[in-house]
Amino acid sequence: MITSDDILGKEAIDSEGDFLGIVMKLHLDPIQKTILGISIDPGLWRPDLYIGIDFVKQFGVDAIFLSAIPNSKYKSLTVFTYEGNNLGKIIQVNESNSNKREFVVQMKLNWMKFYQKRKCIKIPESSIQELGHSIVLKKNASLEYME
Amino acid sequence: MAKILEPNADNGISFWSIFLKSVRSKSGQRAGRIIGFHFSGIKIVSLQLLSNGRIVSIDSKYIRNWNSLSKTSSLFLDMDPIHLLLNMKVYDKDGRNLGYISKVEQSGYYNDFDFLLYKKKFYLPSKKIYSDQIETLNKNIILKVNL
Repeated sequence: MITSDDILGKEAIDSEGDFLGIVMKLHLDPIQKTILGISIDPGLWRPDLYIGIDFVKQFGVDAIFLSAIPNSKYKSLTVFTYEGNNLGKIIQVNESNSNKREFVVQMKLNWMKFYQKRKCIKIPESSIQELGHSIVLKKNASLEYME
Repeated sequence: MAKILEPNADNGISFWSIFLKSVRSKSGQRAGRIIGFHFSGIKIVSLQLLSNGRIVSIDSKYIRNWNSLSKTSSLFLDMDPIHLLLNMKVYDKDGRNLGYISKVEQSGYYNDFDFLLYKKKFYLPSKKIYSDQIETLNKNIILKVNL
């Protein structure tokens, strides 16, 4: 048996082994008397992250292992084309009912055209080759410009 | 005579335009910055990268976008170099923080390791981890055993 002291203040580690933040809160169901989830503090300037108890794999000694990767982790990742050109950064992740994700990328600022509104593009998950420290697209990936 | 020494911007890239250029691994992680080359005749044999204060040589056959490289694009490798494992955190099966990777014992000249050495504090002795003990090796290392 463990107590709340064994959970609060511990590091939350996602399924890739990446550090997400520190567990700050436990969410309880007052009627069923069960744990609903945990809140993670990812650090300064970032909003708290709620993780449902179904996505908690294990309450460890020094860390809590999660079984999934939250979509918010991909925000502000840099996107590169297959040729190595920097496209911009992820600003939004949309997930459909069939668990197909779509990434919205804000194009890199062009200082020669700083007065123009920065364009956004949609990238389906099927066009992505590598999704980790940054996003690398497949060769000749389909990019959809947004209005 | 001076014209011969000038870089020809139409046919190639000058050394100074790629000196200190960021190099990324296959997964998009920063692998270091270019500080030099090894030549055999006129052919580039390997790149010298500066990564976390260390100089690392990478065989030029692992460079993915050498032919499509421009002044603005990043250089990508076709692999995740094992020197990026250094300083990764190590957790055991129970979520205990065992320390960080202090040394990678390379197997021959391949991009593979015989074992990893980790330590809790810099003044404490190192301990070995073998590849069959590792469950997740991505951004940090999670073991499938308790050591």
